[in-house]
Amino acid sequence: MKTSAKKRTMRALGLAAILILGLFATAQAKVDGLYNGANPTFNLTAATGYIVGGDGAVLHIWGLSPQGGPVQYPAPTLIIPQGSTVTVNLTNQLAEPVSLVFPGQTNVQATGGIEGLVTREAVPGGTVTYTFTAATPGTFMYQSGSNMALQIEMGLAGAIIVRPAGFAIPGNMTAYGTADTAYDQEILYFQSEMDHRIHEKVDSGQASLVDLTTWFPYYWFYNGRNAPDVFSAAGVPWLPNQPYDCFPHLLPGQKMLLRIVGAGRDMHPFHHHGNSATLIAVDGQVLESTPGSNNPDLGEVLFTQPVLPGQTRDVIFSWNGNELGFDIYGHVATDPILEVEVFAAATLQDPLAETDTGVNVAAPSQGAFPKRRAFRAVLTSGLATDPAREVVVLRMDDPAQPNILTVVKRGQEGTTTPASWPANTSAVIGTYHGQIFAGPADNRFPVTLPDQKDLTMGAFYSGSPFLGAMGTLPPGEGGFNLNNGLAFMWHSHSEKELTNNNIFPGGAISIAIVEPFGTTIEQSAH
Amino acid sequence: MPSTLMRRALGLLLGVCLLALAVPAARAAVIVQCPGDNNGDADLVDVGDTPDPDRVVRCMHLTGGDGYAVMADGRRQYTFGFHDLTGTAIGQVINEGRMKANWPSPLIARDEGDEFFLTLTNVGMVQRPDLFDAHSVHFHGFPNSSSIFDGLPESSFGINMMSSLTYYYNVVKAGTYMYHCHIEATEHMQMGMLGNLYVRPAQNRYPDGHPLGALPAGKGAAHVNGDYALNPNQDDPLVGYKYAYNDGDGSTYYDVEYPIMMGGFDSNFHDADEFVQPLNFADLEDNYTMLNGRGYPDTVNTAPGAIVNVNGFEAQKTPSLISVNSGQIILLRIVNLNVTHFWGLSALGLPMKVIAHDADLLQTADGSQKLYYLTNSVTIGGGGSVDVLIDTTGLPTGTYPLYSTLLDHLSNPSEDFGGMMTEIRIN
Repeated sequence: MKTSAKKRTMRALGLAAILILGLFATAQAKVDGLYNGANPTFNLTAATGYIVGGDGAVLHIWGLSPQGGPVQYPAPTLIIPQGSTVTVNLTNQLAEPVSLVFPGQTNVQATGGIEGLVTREAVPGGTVTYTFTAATPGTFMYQSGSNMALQIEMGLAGAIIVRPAGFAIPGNMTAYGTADTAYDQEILYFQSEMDHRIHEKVDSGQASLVDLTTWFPYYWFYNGRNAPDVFSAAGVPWLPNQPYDCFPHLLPGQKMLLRIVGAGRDMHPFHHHGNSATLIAVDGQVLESTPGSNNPDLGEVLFTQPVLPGQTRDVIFSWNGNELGFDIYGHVATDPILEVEVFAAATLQDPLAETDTGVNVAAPSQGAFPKRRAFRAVLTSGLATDPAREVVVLRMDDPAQPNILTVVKRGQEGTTTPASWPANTSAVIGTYHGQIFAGPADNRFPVTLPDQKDLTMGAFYSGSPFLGAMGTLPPGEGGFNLNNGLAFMWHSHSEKELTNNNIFPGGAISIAIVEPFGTTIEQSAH
Repeated sequence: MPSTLMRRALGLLLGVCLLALAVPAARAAVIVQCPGDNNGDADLVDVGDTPDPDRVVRCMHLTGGDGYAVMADGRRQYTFGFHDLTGTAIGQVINEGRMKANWPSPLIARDEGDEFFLTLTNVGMVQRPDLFDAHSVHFHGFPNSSSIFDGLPESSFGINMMSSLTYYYNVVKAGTYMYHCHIEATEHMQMGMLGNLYVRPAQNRYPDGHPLGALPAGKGAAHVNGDYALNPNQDDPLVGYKYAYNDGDGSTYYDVEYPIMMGGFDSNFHDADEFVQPLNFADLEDNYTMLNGRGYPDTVNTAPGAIVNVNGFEAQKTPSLISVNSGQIILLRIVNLNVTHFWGLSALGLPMKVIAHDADLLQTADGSQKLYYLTNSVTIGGGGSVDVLIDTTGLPTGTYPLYSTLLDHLSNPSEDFGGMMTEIRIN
């Protein structure tokens, strides 16, 4: 039949598309999971399965499968609109009673099954139902409430994300419904670890012989995968039971929300290269001085997040690279100045006279001028494309008089001082835009890099220091950074966890990429 | 067809020739980049050096290689580490840098406003000629960093043996950071390539008399800066009042500062590395615990040259004895650079005021209110930092232990009463 031939062709094309996407799609920052609209019902089945470690090891797990789907490690991320009445039907295909608890949710009702230690349990072959109202937004987790030390180690744990009222992609993406919790990209960091010896025992039918007191992990996971598998796209066919990736992407100046879940038994120091980031909430509770405001004014700026067992942390990360001392965007002086390149801006109070050794500025309209240290700025008419810019090095010598900035230098490094100030100058913009250094003409970099033969290069190196620029690389180098973004490792700083059962590198490694402008970054679906 | 083949072959040949022209000759060599330094020794103090008076250029030359440390129980430990050869002529760097791994790595203390040119020369591993590892420097926690100077081998590169790489940092944010090699991070960090790094605030260079409302009792209501000069090159940040952060009110004033690095060694791992055995990453577990690369009682031994390694070299240059006069305020810049553990640190009998986490002053988002807190202990994971002020005003003179709260690790390792501990002496 014609239609079935067409269907086959479509399927083949679809498969090819999936394979290609799986191999090449990288620009995404999204949280995958189960979304069943408002007042959802989730039908989950506890069952056994196998996952693949970053070293290729086959690891036995107990996981949850969504209706009709494969068993997952970790359990499916449940994405729920705030205020929903949530129903979770848990069917048990394991050989021992199983149940679920929902830390951070109140008034959880359990019906069916049998009475267990902390909640009602489903007997093997049976079902139990939990209902609760997802009253407040935030990042939470859910996990086994039966024989927990073993069942959670085996994989019966997952994340819950409650979307605030009014949440919309795109248009109104916030973690807690307020402007101070708004974000452009989001990523889940569900952190767990595994002692594979326990899983081997369970796989060979000796679950009752497992000694949990000698637990010692050898694998560390982000979203159920070890490095380097975290870089494969979500849902790739070769990781059927580990559908979630961990490969964040963002643009300069964007805010990325990290939803971190400490789902294992150990504490993990989670270090994000690139910049410090603001912790806005712990365990779904905003760090606020005014209760109920969801304004995280008590948020903490950290470069290493101590992720504790059972804890969730919401962290907002951003990067602009605007005070590096060189123009990481690789601009020439006449290019438009981008908003993210500016660390401070103010209008001039007085017109410049040739004899002026300082400038008098109004209160900054953006950022603040550094105190008692020199910084680079351009004097312009305030237009992004104004060609009559002059480069200056300024310094606020008396912080008690923040409107007076001494001119330390005029003109670009390595050039002579210009004869006169540019006409119609009306603004002072703190930026390293178009910075050049002494040396060869148009030298935009402060040092000379070594010969490539003296370097050992990494797979995410583009060959250039500048965002979006690709330099010449020797054969076989690079290739993991398709848009020539800036790559930063986000990883456990207990560095022994960067291994897969004794093989370095692996484990708790991920790479965040600051992509050049224009890169399309895939958003969460719900 | 033949003509197509011929064209292709010629094209290929031309391409190869062009490539050969484009690739500069290999130049593996020690190269220092430091603007104004004209003899390549990475300092700006020699006759003939021409520092730009209007740029605050600072330079340093580190070598990366191997060496030995000695534990508090006398055990030898093979290490990787950095050595400071700032001021050494280029031609002597390889010889001077070999087998000189420091533990911990040399202190890097900078000031806001510095342009810092850090040259790293890889001198190779003398004890492990089979290794050809690159090295790098990662400034851990530096805000808004670039990936080219991040030292992460995945996103940039490491420098090969007998070659140099110069990092550039525009130093803009005060705080307590740390640095380490990021090449084969688990191995190189366990082997000791870890250093203290902090940045002093521009507030140290405020004009004499600048009003500050929250200075400690007896310190008046204004900043004191005896050598104030408009040009930061002429204003020593250590003359006059000193602060941990740009607090705006003098509340992070201190008299004496001490970097304290919590760390440890797994002796099995170090022995395996020394004797070219397979490395056991999976079972890494530190049995020697240390502060600034020494276990107690070596931590309180301040005699120069008292702790030397098997080659007679003083690799562990950093005692942690904290000795102050009653009434002084101590700033402890505490970092954990251990690769296996969270560690706690407690000052028995002394109030610890935590003023910053991870190089960020504890305050509300709008800066209107400080969020400092008092505690008896701090717990930090690997790669975290905490700044603690201890005001000794009114406290009895005497000796107070500063020790790991994981008491089972206070040993060297089979000798009891050692490890991650030092003393605070109030005189």
